[in-house]
Order: sequence, then structure tokens, then C-alpha cells
Amino acid sequence: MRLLILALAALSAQNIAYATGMATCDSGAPSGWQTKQTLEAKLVKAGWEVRLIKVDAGCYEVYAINEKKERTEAYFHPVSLERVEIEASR
Amino acid sequence: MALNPLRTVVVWDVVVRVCHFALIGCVLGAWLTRHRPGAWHEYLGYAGVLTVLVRCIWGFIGTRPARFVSFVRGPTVVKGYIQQILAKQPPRYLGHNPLGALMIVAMLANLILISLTGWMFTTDHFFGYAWVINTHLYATYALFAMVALHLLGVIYVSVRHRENLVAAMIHGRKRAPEVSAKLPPENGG
Repeated sequence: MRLLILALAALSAQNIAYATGMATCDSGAPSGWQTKQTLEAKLVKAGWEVRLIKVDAGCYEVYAINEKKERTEAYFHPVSLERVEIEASR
Repeated sequence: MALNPLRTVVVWDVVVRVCHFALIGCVLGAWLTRHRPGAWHEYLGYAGVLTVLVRCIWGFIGTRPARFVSFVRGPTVVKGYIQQILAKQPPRYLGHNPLGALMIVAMLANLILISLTGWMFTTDHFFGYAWVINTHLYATYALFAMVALHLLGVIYVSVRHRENLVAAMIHGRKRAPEVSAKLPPENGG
């Protein structure tokens, strides 16, 4: 029981950290970033169906169906809009 | 304190106990693998929803204290039990008490919602939408709040009736009801 409570407390503390650890971008202040709309337009042009763009550890995190109709979670540098490699998820 | 086996009865059968701890394992495991959108998070989710289904089926065909009909109670009984707690005189239930029962049903329902939205994320149709992620996420936070309340309830009842409910969920046995106290709660559980 005590262990369980400790485990839950540790888990909830861990939750405060926002970054998921999938990728990190050294991108500076958000004022210097390109907008999500710009990134979305670029991806749509490349044939992606963009479903969500979030900020994660200084990167734009994109959920989309890519041009090959595959479910894709991808990271982009918000200044250059270059794709950032993430660790293999499978 | 060791229980005298002559004065104890088996309340939680092996299916109830295994499901209970399997769910703890699945939930903690899935939480720890949440940022690895890969095989393990999904396997743990499928294992979790399978466990919920087994427990729900067992809630109809299992041993008496495992059956929903033996412990799920309506608002009147729940309200009465809350009043008994406030009066510091809650009756002892051999099985789940009416408030605990409410929490169990709520947690099982929430686990289905979490599993469903998690599975939806693996389909082309629902992948990537904010509302699917957010439902999955906030339902999970709600589950942890429920777990915390569940533990508080377990601690309260354990102290109140001087019996270790955590141990009872591990070995399945509880102190037999007093012979002189064959009231409906002790009997029916």
C-alpha cells in the first residue's frame, strides 16, 4: 500500500515535466519561430493531411496522415521548419 | 496480525484478485510507456481492456461477492451509507460497500473510455485529432484521481473496522461476520 502511494506520488511528480523526450529543438524564443500555419501549409503542399500541431521541447510536433496515407508523428524545427529525427518508436 | 483461518471466509476469489492486480500493472505500465508510441503501450492497453472485460463478465457469473448485483446499490443506499460515515458508524460490509461499489463501476467505465480512445488513435480515421488525445489524457488524470479516492476509502475502512483490506485483496480472506451481527450488509456483502 505504502509502495503504491509512493509510486503514484512519483508518477504524478514526473508528469510536471512537459517534454516527452522524443526530440528536442534548440529553437530559442517562440517570437523567432515560423507559425504553425506556415508549417501546416508546407506539409499540406507535400500531400500531408495535418491533424494536429503541438509544441514539444522547442519543436513543432505534428500528427498527420502523410503522402503515403500512413499515420505519422513527426517533429519539425520551428525556425527552419526542417524535419527533426525522433528515436525509432517501434 | 495473522488471521485465524477458522474465523475467516474467502470473499475475493482468484479471478477478482488477479484482475485487480493485473489492472494495476497495466495502468502503471501504460503510464510509464506513454511517450513511446509503440508496441508496449498498446499491448498494455489491450491487456487492460481484456482484464476489464473478464472482470465485467465475472461480475455476472462469478462468486457471490464478485457479482455486480451483490454490491452495486442505488442512490438511496449510497446516501444512507454516507450519512452513516458522517455519523462515524458505517456498517461493515463483507464485500464492497456501496461507495466502494460506485467507485469500482466508475473506474471500470473510465478504463473502457481510456482504452477506446487509445485504440482509436491507432486507426487512420481517428489518429492525431486533439479531442481524441485530450479525452485519453484527461480520462487518465481522472482515473488517477479515482485511484487516490479509492485508496483513501480502503484506508478509511481498514482503520474503521480494524481489518487490512489490502491484505484481503491479496489473499482473499476476511474476518467472518459476527454471529450476533447477521445484518443484511454483513450477510449479503
